[in-house]
Amino acid sequence: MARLKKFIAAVGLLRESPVGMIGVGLVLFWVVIALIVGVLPLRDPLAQSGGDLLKPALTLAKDGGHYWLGTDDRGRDILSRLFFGSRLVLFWSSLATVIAYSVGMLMGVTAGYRGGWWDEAISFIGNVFLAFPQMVLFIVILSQLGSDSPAGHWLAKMGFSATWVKGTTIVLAVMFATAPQVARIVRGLVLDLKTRDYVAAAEVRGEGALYIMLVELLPNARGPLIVDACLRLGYVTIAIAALGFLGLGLPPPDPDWGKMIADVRGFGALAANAMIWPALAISSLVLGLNLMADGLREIALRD
Amino acid sequence: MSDTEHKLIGTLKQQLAEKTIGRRDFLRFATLLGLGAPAAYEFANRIDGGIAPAAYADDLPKGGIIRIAQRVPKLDNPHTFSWIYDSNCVRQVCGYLTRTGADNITRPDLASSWEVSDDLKTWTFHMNPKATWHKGGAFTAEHAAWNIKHCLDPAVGSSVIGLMKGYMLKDVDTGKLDDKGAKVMTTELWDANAIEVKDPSTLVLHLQEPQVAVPEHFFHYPFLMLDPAENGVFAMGSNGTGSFEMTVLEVGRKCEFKRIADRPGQVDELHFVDLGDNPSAVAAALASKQVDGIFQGNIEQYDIYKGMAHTDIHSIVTAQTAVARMRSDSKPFDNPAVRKAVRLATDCEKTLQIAHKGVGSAAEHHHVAPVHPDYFKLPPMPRDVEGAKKLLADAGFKDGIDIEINCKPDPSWEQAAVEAMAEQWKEAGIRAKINVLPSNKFWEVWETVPFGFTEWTHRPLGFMVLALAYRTGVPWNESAYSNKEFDDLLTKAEGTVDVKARSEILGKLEKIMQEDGPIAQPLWRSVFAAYDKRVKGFNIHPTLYIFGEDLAIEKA
Repeated sequence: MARLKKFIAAVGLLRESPVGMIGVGLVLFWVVIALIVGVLPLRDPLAQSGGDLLKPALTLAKDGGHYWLGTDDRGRDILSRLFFGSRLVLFWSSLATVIAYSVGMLMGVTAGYRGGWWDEAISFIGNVFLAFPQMVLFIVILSQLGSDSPAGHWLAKMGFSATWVKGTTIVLAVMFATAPQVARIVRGLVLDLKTRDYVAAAEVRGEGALYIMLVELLPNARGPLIVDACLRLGYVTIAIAALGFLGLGLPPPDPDWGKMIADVRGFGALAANAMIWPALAISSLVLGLNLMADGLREIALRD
Repeated sequence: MSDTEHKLIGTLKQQLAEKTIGRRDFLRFATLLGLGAPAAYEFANRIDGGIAPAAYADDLPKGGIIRIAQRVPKLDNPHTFSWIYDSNCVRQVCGYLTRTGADNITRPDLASSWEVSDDLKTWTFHMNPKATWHKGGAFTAEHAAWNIKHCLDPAVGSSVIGLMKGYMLKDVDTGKLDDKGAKVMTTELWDANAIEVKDPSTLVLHLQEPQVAVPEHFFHYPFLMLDPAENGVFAMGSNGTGSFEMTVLEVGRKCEFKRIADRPGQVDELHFVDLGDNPSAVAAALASKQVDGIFQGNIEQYDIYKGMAHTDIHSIVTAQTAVARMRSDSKPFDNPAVRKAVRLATDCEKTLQIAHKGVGSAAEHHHVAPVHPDYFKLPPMPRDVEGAKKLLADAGFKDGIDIEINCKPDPSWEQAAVEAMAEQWKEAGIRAKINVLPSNKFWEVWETVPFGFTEWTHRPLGFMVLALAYRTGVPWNESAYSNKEFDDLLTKAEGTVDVKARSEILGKLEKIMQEDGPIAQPLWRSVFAAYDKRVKGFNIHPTLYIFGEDLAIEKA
């Protein structure tokens, strides 16, 4: 309970940063939408209407309602797809970031605290992954672990839906590409932290290496890591949208924001309305996360 | 074409005069039976007062280079081509025995004339004495015979087998058993003398069943006449009988052809430029005049091309389509009720509107198009969700079925059609997962996946595509469909020259497809291409074939 209060107090500090508050506002907007979208009076995001293709914003629908943000090339309501899509984007990008962070922190703290051949081996593996451009790495991993791979078939056989199979492979791709970056940051922090007296005290007490890494080191490295996590969540959101745009994202007809742009790009200027809204949604969420990270950094520096 | 007119041409003339067949049907079948195109047009004009096509303009500009945006795939084995792109490349170098024009009329090419016996079982083709190879020597009946035998060799794997199996081949037991213990069958010529070289300029085909469309089959796009000395392999410097020689081939980038000085044609060079799968890149290249024409426009960009002041749009109604095909040897599609339920759950009109912006017409699930002369109009087969549910319940799927459909993202209308249909199927309890595969990956598995969405190009006659895709055991039978009644009716249709009688047989085939067939077919496409106004002589072909020798370009 005390920890929760401490966390709320820390978040409350953000009020002192106007930039951070704008970020929080943008992120909260999408989080709230994702939570309540099921009860909002929206159209079915998958329902198609052959007579309402590529309609502009504020178009009157045949059933008497409105397409507030217009329709896409299959006559689907853009507003509804954006709002339902926010669930997918937030869920998969958060899950991918959390998993990448967990793996990255474990790699980094082990390499930094253990040193020696542990450090050599983990750093070498990380450097191998970091040597590839991120998008190339994503594509290679998705093509090897995608829904058509033996791993994909196995997941499908286990009863996972197409969305889960694809989502899981995206999470794995993000993990391979991001964890080494996180590991490098954590390792640098731990190299400094492990020289502190409280670590020496824990060692004198006879605490095990795992205890020291998880209880003494990682919590004390959290400040910079929280800021980095916010930024990285933004990068992962963009990466997942880019994968959707390239046709490697979640399977159709899920309203993946990147795929929403890709679906209509062939129409060029004729589909400007259908492209601009998902682009704005991606930008607003990523901007929100970046501003929130800036705010957190600002406050951290004040301390 | 011959002094002796086939007796059925008289019947066709009578039917045209009595207006029981149309002008188009008369022209098509009279020319197939050996009546020259000019004579056929003259007779039709006398009856209906129509105007014959303008004579080929001889005052087209000469010289220059035409650049066309089109994919450039591997070209090494022309007899197994399964794309129009690759045939468009080799077509500039090698010819066909016949040529079916944009008006769907089949005319002589490397074969200058032909006759057919009254029973439609003996076809005599006379080779064009003016046809010569680039490397010297005349094109002879031996060369034609080698190419036909090569295409009909099951080891080659040409789709020509699908067209000719019914009248040129017989099934033979190899004496081997497959993994399931079933006999492994192959095919061979039905008679050792089925392809007879009478003399160097005369080829005779002896058919086991009557067949009216032999000249049209010779224009099936993989049926290129290759130099036998090259053993079916095409490469840089390959011999041919066409107007061009290939000078550059970079797969995935470009393919260039130079016209041979004394051969027909206007332009000096013809270049195909591969701009990839992205339709926007193709449109941008035409807009910026980096290319002079495009192989085919993407339906999404119709209005963009219309807005380009320097281009003309050429469009045509076709029998091009794509079908959601179910392998009849895979569960749950081995049950005909499930296949019909998928058809009944499909709203063709709505799918046309959503996926192809209404440009084309709604299909009827039997793969015979209204533009085919042998099309038979069946009563409408409207969407019937309750009927689909009942069929599924009767088949033991009371709670519906979960299936996966495979498709490719290019051209984009295919994925849009699959998404539209999958949405419609939900209502009938058919829950379809959509697996979008990259195009190259899709073409590795298109014949083997249990459920896939496959594009099929235009064929001039309805029964041609049925023979290619649904006859038992033929190479392109991707649905593993096998129905003896269907095969027998198909063979009968292939040997029936009377248009009305044939159309009635087609009606039975169409009904079988609707009731038992392996496809749900949402739409027929109209296609278009865009060319710079400086390009002359282009006449869009329903199969999007490009004939370089017809093209000319004005100086900029």
